[in-house]
Amino acid sequence: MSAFPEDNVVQVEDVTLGYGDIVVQEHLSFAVHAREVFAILGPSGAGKSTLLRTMSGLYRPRHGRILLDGSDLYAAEGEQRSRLLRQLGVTFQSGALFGSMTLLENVRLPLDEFTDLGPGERELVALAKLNQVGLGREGGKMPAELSGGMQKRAAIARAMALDPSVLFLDEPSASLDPIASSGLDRLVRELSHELGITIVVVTHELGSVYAIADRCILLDTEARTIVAEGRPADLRDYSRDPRARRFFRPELEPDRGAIAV
Amino acid sequence: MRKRGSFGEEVLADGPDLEIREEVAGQVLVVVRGSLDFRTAKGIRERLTGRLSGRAINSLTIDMSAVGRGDTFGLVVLHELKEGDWALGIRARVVGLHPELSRILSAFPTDQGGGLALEAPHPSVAEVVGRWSIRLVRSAREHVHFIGAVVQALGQTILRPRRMRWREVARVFEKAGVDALPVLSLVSGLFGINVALEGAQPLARFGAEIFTASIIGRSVVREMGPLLAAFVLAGRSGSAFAAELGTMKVNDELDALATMGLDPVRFLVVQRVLASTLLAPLLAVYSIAVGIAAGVLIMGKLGFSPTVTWSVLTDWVTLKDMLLGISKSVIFGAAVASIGCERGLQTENGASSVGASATRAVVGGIVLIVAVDAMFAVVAYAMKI
Repeated sequence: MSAFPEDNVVQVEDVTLGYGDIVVQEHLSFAVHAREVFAILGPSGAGKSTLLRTMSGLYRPRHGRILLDGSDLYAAEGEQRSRLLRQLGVTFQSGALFGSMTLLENVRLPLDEFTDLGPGERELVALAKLNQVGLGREGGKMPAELSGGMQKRAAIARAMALDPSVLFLDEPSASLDPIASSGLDRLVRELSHELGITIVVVTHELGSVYAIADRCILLDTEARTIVAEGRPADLRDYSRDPRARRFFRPELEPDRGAIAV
Repeated sequence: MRKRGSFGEEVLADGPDLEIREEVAGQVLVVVRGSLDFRTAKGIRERLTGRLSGRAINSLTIDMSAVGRGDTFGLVVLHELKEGDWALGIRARVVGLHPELSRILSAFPTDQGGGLALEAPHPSVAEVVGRWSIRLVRSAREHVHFIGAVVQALGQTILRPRRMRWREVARVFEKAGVDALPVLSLVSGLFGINVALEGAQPLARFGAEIFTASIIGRSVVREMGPLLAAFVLAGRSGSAFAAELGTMKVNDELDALATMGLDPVRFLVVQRVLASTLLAPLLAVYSIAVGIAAGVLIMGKLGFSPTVTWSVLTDWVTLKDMLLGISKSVIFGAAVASIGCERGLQTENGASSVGASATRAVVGGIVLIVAVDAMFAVVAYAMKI
């Protein structure tokens, strides 16, 4: 973990994202500081999850670089790349737990693969991770036996198995009931405050943004780039950008009916 | 607010709901009354076309002010009249439409816009052939690449066996092997019976009924034993591999592996290919045994003792035949598992694509089995095995 709070743990430099002939976002440049919770916001289809996957090593960007602790994620190869990837923990919208393994086995898997610990020690670490997300008693259960919120917690525990310096969370509180959702928000804050983990989170739920994020960027579908960056409450209260106002203060927008007559 | 789409109980009498007036020649006024919804629309459409067709019409006005109920399906008629879609060829003017209904009407696509984008014109034959060829070449290249990756991962696993998930191999062995025995027994047994019965009749004409045993032996050992085992493997396990990996893909589990720096080929595919490759010859031997046993049984019914049948059979079937059958089943096993896993990894997004991958795995598996078998047949013939 980086020692100085102002260190840039992740740097995104002039990145372009796209599929086939379509450019989804371009000229994306920003930095995520150590120990902060950084939110990527935007309407559906703006490319938030694509950006997260690009930052976590899954999709090579069309253009630009992703730096992780100063090293270019996509220029690295072989063992160096695998070492870089091990500094990241990623969770997906669906949780993406391995359905044929128990929770404990899910969390232990990265430890089995990448550490020299003995079997007892690996189990101990995995249990500690499950305890951190409040699932210490559920280790023997299969993912299908858990609620959506628990699955997402377990996915976070697995993502933290190797003590990553950055956690990437894709819509952690999406499609959960309000209680489970605020529980996850609280967990994200705790991980950041108590364990000092840097967290990058994709969301489109404003309530959750104010609750957890220190800083955020807002992606826009039409401008195809970042239209606002800063503290969420500041953007809500002071931003003059019409697109940011539309996102943070939808109640101020004149009602535009669904059917244009 | 008036209720849209409510079921009016009145039965349509021919007349009161539709009035057609032509006060000045060529200028037609249609007055619709009551409801224009999914119940009445068909009748109104039929009567309108019936009465208006063949007339010389300059202008058509539809008065809707007496319509109290309507829904989207009823308004289709109005929309078509408005757009001049009917044989009449003129665009009707709609008056007196309730605002709520006019909101529905305005949502229909018009010539000016709101419609579906025009479909691309049909590609020429050359284009279709070209695209197919490109796809075929690309798919073949991907398959070769995939096999390369599997072999490489297999090599690494053999060098470092501790990294292999042996429990997974054992699970596949049980599911694809032990659990397949009942169905394999059934098809192999039935096949043995078939060959014996089909072979015995023509051979009886030459008084050579006893040589049915040789036909059973050769066909079961060289061909059908390994083939049936491979088909059962493709149908039960190739599809299961594709569905398992496809579901993982759809659930982002493969991406989760990738972010951990784990290779899905080493982590998921190698176990399945290895288990299936080891399993296929065992299943083939089992299938051969059951097929021959069934054949011997039928020969007994035809009056030949097992000892006689067995001696003729072993006369015609040599160790070479057995080795040929077993060696091709090894290739079958590898082919079925690798195509199943490859199709699984190629799964696109959405639950329906998992089913499509399973289907493609079975079809691909069967095609590969038959192709490999044909190659073996040619080589065996050339080498006089």
